[in-house]
Amino acid sequence: MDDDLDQYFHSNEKEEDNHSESDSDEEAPDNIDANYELERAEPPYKLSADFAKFLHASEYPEDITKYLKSLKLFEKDAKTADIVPTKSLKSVVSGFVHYLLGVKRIQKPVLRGIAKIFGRYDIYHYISQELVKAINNLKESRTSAWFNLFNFLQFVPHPMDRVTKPLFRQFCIRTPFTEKATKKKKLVWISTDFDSVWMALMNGQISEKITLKLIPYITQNVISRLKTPFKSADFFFKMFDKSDYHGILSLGAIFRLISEHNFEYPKFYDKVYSLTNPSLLYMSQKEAILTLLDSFLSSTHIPTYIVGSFLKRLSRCLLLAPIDAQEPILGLIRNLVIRHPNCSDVVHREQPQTVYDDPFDNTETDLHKTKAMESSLWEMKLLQCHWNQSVRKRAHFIDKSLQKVESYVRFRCSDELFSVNMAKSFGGEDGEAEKYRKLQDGDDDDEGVGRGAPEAKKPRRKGFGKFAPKHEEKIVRAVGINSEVPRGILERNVAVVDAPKLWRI
Amino acid sequence: MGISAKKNAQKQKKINPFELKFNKSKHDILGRKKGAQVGAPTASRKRAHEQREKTLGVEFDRKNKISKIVDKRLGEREDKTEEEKGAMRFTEERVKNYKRASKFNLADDQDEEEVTLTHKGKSLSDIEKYDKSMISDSDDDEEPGNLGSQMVRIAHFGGGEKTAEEMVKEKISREDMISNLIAKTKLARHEKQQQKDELELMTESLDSKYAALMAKMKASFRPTGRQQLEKDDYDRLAITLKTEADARATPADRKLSEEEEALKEKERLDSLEAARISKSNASLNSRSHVSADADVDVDAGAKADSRKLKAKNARFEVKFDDDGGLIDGDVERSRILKTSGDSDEEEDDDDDVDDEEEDLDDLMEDEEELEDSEDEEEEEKVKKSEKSLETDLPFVFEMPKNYKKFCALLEKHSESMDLVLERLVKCHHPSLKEGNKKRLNKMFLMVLRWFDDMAKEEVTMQSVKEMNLAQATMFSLMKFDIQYGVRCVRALIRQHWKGRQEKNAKSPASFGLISAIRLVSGLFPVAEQWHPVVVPAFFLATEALCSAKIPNLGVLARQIQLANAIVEYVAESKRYVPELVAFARSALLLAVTDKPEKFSTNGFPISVPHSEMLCVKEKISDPVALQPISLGSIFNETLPDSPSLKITVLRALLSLIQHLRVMYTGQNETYNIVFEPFLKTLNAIQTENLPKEVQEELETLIASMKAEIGAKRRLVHLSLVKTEKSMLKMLEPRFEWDFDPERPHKGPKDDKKKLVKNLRNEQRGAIKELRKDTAFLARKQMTSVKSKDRARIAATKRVMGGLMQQQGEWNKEKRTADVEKKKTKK
Repeated sequence: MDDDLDQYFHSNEKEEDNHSESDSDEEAPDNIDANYELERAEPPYKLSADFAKFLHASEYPEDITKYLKSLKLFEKDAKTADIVPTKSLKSVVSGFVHYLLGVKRIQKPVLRGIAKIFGRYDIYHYISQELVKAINNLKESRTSAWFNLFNFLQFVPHPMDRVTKPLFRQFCIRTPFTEKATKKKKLVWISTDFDSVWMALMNGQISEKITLKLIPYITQNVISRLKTPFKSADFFFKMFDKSDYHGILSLGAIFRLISEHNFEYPKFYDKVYSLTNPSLLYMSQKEAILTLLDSFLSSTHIPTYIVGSFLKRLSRCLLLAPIDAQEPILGLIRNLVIRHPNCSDVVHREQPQTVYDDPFDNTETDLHKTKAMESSLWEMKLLQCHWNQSVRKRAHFIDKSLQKVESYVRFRCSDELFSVNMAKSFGGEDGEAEKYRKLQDGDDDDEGVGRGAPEAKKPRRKGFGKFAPKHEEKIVRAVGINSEVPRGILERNVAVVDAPKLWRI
Repeated sequence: MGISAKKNAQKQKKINPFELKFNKSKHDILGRKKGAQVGAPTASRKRAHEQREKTLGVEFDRKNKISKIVDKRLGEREDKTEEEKGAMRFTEERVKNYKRASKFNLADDQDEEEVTLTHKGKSLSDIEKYDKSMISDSDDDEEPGNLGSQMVRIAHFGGGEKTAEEMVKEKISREDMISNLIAKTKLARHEKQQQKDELELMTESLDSKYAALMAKMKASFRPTGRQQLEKDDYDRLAITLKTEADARATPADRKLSEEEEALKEKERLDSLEAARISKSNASLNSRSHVSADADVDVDAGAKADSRKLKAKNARFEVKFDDDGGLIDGDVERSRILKTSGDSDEEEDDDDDVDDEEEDLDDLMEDEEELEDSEDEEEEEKVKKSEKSLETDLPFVFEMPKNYKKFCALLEKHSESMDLVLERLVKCHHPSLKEGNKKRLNKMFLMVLRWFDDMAKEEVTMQSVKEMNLAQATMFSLMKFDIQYGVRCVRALIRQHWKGRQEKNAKSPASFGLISAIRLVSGLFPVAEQWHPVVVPAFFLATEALCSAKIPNLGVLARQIQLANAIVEYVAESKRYVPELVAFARSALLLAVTDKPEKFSTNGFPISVPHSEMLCVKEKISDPVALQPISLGSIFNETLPDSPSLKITVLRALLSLIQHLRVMYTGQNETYNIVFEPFLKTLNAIQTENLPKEVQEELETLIASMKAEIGAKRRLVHLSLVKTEKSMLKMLEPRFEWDFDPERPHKGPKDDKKKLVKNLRNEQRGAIKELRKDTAFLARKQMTSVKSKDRARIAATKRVMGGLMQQQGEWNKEKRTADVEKKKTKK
């Protein structure tokens, strides 16, 4: 299947090349009389449903272009003498919309090929109008339709990025798009098409399953292209209530709106704060969440009380967070403290006071009232006893004077961490060097580069010239094993306080 | 002296003025020392040469000459007359004799200096007088032969000159005299005895008085000297060692080294095996004669074996119970260390080759491939042995070639697997044969796989027992090659991890996984900083704990079991496991209807009927409710969520939380932060439907948690501990009181400078001297070589001259002979 698709895809590429050639010598269709083109009788055409079937059936793009070639696409309107699309073109457009919003799920590579034809700006102009209407009526349950639509739209570029070649030039000389007026404002109406479709999509009843993909894509690629980006905020607010993850994602989009498009959104940080909780860190999308959190808090102009509250909230989260979230968040906390010197009180006070209970109120939703700045990051003390060595080391940052420079901690999923630990040498292959490197990694704290790439460090050390060790000593480190004979597999090694017999075989 | 000095002066005066050399000074600088104004280089050179000739030259001449003849004859070298020589010899002889004789002449010495030995200022001879009476009192009485001097005189020498008194007494008859004598001696003896008694009495009374006094004074004095210590175990041991050293040091068997012990064990097993085979043969064909001894031997061997096993178990049990088996532990540890050293050396090259990425299955496959070729012959052997011995347990085993055979072997002896495994290990001790180590490694792998397979099967008493056995065997095998063992266990962990990553990431922990994790904690120290097995196992455990979906109570029970395994990991080191706390917190929320917070981990059900799976809605008076949870049932089948199960799972959860509470009591700052949410949830649990015991447990947990939280409310803000910055070292100014700008001032460095300068000068001088010495030696060598050459040339010349003369004469004669021949011819 995949192979077939590939082949298809490749053939498409070739096709594209051919198009461009044919486009470059525009002379070819010029030989035909333009007026004849417009005035001849319409050849037979397929109805929209048939055309949708035809699209499903057709394997190569040539088939489609061939069919289009056989049609009469434009005619002169009898009253206004404007050039207007014929019925056959209309049926092509509606057929395509049928095809796209059908029941059948279309593979992504196929859609890419399709978009090479129907994504061209001239035909897309007609399609978009149809599409907007269709989207407004599209129901939430039609998951495959939504997926097709989203995937197709992904392949339609915004004119600011790339202006596609006109499709109709291949078939006829005079089209509405060759008129001077339309040509002048080409960019404007192409982008209007783009806008209208995306806005329709955002206002539609979007299927639940696609939202998680949709939000980041819109944030990344669409918002900044829209004429009025803040109109998309409605969509994000709608998404906001769905789940924590949706919330954080849509907040990401809103953050983008705020930071890039002057969008006004009071209590943004209150929202983020309310979403930050441990269960977020157990999600499979934690990497995205962590990057978003990082970007939210990257500004140096955030008020101190907000930063303080986040510091406390994040460290509370850490007490329940899984291993792969530990290090990035620890890095984030440290960066926050470095970034906001006013917040260093949570790490160090000249005159430490004695308080009763942690003043910080974790349940408080108002960031002003969390009393975070009266508290300290005692949580780090507990993390200094974390079971993982690197977390322990990282949590020790509160015991040292603060670094001047922030450093980025790369997210590593638990699988990666596991393989890192499995790949560590033991039993004296180069035990001592490993230890040394580990020490450096943990203590120097400039993991911006070092942490993720210990492999890159190694050759550098070798080439140190005259100070390089001439040959590395092999030091055998014995691997510890227990000295006592193990007890039964089900017997507890723990001194139980008053546990009753709870288990039996 | 005066004369010689004059002579020297004269000699110097005689120096040829042309040989003198003058030092002209161009500038005369005040205060600077001037060197010698004039010198005679040739003369000094000559003097040096002569000096060298006397010292170095002599040594050079004597070089390579080992001994020399010394003429010790008296007066031979000086010309003396025969008489004088004789006199000299005589005096010499006399002196010698005198010296020899006077060596032992004490009297002469005393004349010169009075030496008296003293004791405390009194001469020893004085002291001796008292000594005698003190020491010899009792001896006098007891020994009958030792009579008083008076008596001896009278009795032995009855006559002699008589005094007047005696003359009177002579009248007394002999019997009277004797009786008198006896009476006298008796009296004397009695007196002596009395004296002695008195003395003793007095001493005793004095002693007692002193003791009484000391008893009173004791309190007022500071203790002095060595105190009488209470005897503890160590002292007692030391004393027994001192006093009973002989008894302990009886020539027992010496401590055997490990290899020897292994060898011995193997021999024992071999002999037992031989006996057994012969016995079985005997029973097969009744004709053959079997001695009764053999019978006994086998049984005794088996018994001894079992006894030994029992003893071993007992020892281990003891060690577990009171935690004091120090000696055993040490022995074991040292042995481990030793083997680890060995194994590392041998395995070094192996380790370099293989990479880390391997699964247990891969390892297994490798082994299998290796062995396939050897399989067939092996099978025959097995068959043969099977035929002959079916009934009872052999003592010696061949190492099974692959896993299938291993399982077959274990199945065959299913009731005494422990013995089979133990004997397998013993028969293949690495010191016995080359390649045994590899076999043991293979065995480790097979046992591990056996363990894993057992864990995958249904959980029964039998399987758990076998797993325990496998674990113990792995533990004993681990000593032989730690590296390999570590690799195998890592492979097992990796396999579990991959299995979770690939397909069933959200499945609950299987029994295999839990037992693997427990196996790790059984074999390796879990409290270490970083351990190649423990840390990956930790990853696996936490991942499995957090990611699993929990649809029903059975799964929850499984997860709690896994959490218990994790608790074991950190119980000693008190490390913090966020995943564990998060799990416990979320699980506890299942027991509450109106939840105070959200679930912190995923996988817990949110919808109502499932999210309250631990809430006990109806009253149960069923005694079954407090039965322990059956592992077999929760791992083997999916249980319906019965109310009784609810209660037991809740109890397990409460016990887990209790563990956590105890474990993290040491965290003063964060204890409240961690446990306050727990307390809140615990308080929200509805208790009215719970059985009494569970209620009590819950209450104690709440009470203890409350108390702890109350005790740890005080918090102190964080503040960096400032380390004092070390000051720059400030130096005191040094004043020079007699400062004089004209003089070069002295400092502490100047002395050193001076010394250094001296040293340099001396060095330079010494080098110069040495150079001159070598030059001298070279010259000397040269002259000797030259003289030898000259002598040789002269000798050659002489010989050649002689020869030429001879030749000339011969030629001459020849010529004359020729001439004469010619003449005769003519």
